[in-house]
This record gives sequence, structure tokens and C-alpha cells, in this order.
Amino acid sequence: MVADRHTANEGHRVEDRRIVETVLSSLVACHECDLLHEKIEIDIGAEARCIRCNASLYTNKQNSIDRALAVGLAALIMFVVANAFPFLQITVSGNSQSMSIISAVYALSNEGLWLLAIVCFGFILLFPLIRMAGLLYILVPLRFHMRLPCIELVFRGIVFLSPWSMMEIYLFGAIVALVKLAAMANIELGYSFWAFALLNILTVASLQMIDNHSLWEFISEARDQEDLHSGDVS
Amino acid sequence: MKTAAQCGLVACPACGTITRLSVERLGLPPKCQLCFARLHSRKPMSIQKSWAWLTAGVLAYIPANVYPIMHTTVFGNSEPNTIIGGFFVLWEMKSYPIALVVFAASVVVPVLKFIAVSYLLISIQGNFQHDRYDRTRLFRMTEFIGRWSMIDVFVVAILAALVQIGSVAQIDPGLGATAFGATVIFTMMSALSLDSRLLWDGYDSSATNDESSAT
Ligand SMILES: [Zn+2]
Ligand SMILES: [Zn+2]
Repeated sequence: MVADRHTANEGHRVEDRRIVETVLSSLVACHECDLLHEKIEIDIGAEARCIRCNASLYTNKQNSIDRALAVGLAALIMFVVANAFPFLQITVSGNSQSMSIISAVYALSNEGLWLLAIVCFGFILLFPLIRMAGLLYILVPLRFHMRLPCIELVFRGIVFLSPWSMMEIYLFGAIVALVKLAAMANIELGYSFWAFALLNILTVASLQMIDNHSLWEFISEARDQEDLHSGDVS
Repeated sequence: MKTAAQCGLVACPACGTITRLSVERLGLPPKCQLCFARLHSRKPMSIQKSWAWLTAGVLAYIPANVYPIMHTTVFGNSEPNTIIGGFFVLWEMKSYPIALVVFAASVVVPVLKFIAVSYLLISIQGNFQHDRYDRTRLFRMTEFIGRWSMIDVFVVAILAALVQIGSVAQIDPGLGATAFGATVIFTMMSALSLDSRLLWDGYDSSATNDESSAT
């Protein structure tokens, strides 16, 4: 089966053909200590851990693409809602002022902290959005047995951006700011605040369902089926 | 009980697929056959890069504490707030939980991170044989908790966006916020460039008796 996969996808791998490599699909190496383990079947919902350093090796989550898609779509909708309404509103002696999520970025750039503003824009909005859109870009075609180009690139982008998505930290930052101001002003939570909180819950749920490795499993399973199918035709 | 490197294998950092490293190609970084990610048995220049980012992080932490992280203007009176000053204000307001969160994010976590990463790097360079498991856990914690320091920058940005109430009150971000953001990013880069697999290289499995459980 491994050999079939090679011939079927040769077109994608011209540049790598020079490197002689064999895919050893029955092994798994611990990503934290490099110890090799033989893959064994584990129960649904179970997690295989490294015998040496206890890092998670793989899980058996048995999640359907449909469920992952539903959560991913819901998260994207919440992202839009969270950015369409006021996030927080403050009232001090009759004067009120409201902010949306992106206002925090403007507030930094207004004071000339451009670099910090750009970085925060990435952490709070751009990177999470790329991750969400990338996930859908991979999952939607898989659901309908199609394939869009550059899936590998999108996958690697999602993995690379994981530590740099900081929506949950922004949410806690908002809570800290709320407590700071609560004593001297009247603060109201906007629709966007609740949408953003929900978005964070959905993101956690989505990560619970599909971590990076199981996302790759979705891709490679679909690819195997595709290869088998194209093998029948030729 | 062997590592992938000892068998001439390498695991893809993105998709986990195991690939055989061919000897004649060791000079070039090969790519994963499935997802095309760059493969490295150990991250190249891991120790040097990690030290470099860590140094940058420590250096940025100085202006982060010296310059005000924000300026508070109440009825025309402007006042600079440093990181540690913000903690004292919260403490006097008796918002103890939030004061502790701010203190943890702005002082405890960065300083512990400097110490932890330095210790891990020294332990790799000194080829320490003991406590590999505990050091791996320390690495994991460092990696997990480091990004939470960014909360300080977000708090300042949110306060600055919200508190712009004409003549009554106004909060503006200060240079210290940029420096503190740089500290967080640099130390995150330091932890990301540190290859935890180096903590286990040179581990002699025959010296322990858990070897039999390997397969
Ligand atoms: Zn391990
Ligand atoms: Zn790969």
C-alpha cells in the first residue's frame, strides 16, 4: 500500500525523488525524546504515551470529519460575529466609549507602537483566522472526496502557527482589564465578548477533536482511498 | 530501546511520519515525503539559537521594566505606570487575585523562564546524566506557560482602547509594552529552538532496568 502511494503521487514529489527514503508506517518516534515505539492498536479515546518521557505519542479519537467540520464552521461564524459587534463598553460620569476586538491593535498603533500593533494583530486575529480557514480548506474538500492544491502547505502552516494563536490569552487579558476598571467605571460586556468566549470554547473543542497528528491522519486516509481508487482505474 | 536517530531514522515534526535518512544525503536537509516539511534529526544549531534568543529576551526585559508600560491620565494629570507599579496599584486596590495574575505573568513567568531555559541548555552542554525525565517536564512547562505572559501586553492594549474618555480619563500604551512583548516573543523563540530530544541523547538504557519494557 505504501508503494502504491508512491507511484500515484509521484508528480507531486519530483524534487524529492532524489532522496531515497522509505516510509516506516508501523513505527512512531516520540517527538520529545526521539525514542522509537511500535504502533499498537489502542482503545477509542485512549492515548499512547512514550515509555521514557511520558509525552503523548498518538490518540485514538475516532472523530468523524462531519463533527470536526461542524465545530470548525461554528468557530468561523463566531469569529465573524465577535468582530462585528462591540466587545466592551465603558461609562464614566455619563461619557461612554466602546471598543471592538481590533481596537486594541489600533490603540497600540495610534501611540506609534507599530511593531507591537502588527504582532498583536497576528496573535489575536490573523493567525487564529488562518488556522480556522486552513482547517476548513482541508476538511471541506475531504468531506466531499475532493482535493484542493497545496494541502500539505496549509497543514504545515497550521502546525507552525499553533503556538502563535493567542485568542484565549486575549480573552483573559480582557477579564483582567475588566477587574482593573470595575472599581472606577461602569463596564458593559458587548455581544462580541460572549461570541469571543464561545469562539474560545469551540477552539478548545476543535483541538480536542483534531490535534495536528489526527488532522494529518484524515488527510492521509483520504489519500490512501484515492490512491486505491486511481489504482483500480489504470 | 533505541531512538530514531540511533536507527538512522527521523520523524517528521509536522505529521509524525518516520523516514529513513540516507547517508549520502545527510548534508542536505531532506523533506518529509508526505507533507514536505523539512526534516532534522535534531534541530540545527539548537543550543546556539536558543542561547541567542534567550539573551535577546533577557536584554529586552530591562527596558520592559525601566520604561512605562502605559501612561494613565486622570483629569489632566498624567502618570507613567511601570510593570511592577501596576502590580502595586492592584494590590492596594485589594484585587489580590488579579494582582497575583499580573505579577505572575510579568515577573514570575519571565524570570523563571530565563532560569529554566538556561538550566536546560547548561544541562545539555554539560551532558548531565541525571533527572532527564524531570528536565523534560520542566521543558514542557516552559513551553506551555511562556506564551501566557503576553497577557500583560493585551491588558495594556485593551485598557488603552477602552479608556479614552475625553477629559476624564485616558490610558496610552508606553514603550515598555513593546519591550515586554519582545521579551515574551524572544523567550518563546528560545524554547521553540531548543530541541528537547537533546535532553535524552547519550542516555544509556542498559544502565537502568526498565529496558525490558521497550517492546
Ligand atoms: Zn519520549
Ligand atoms: Zn511530514
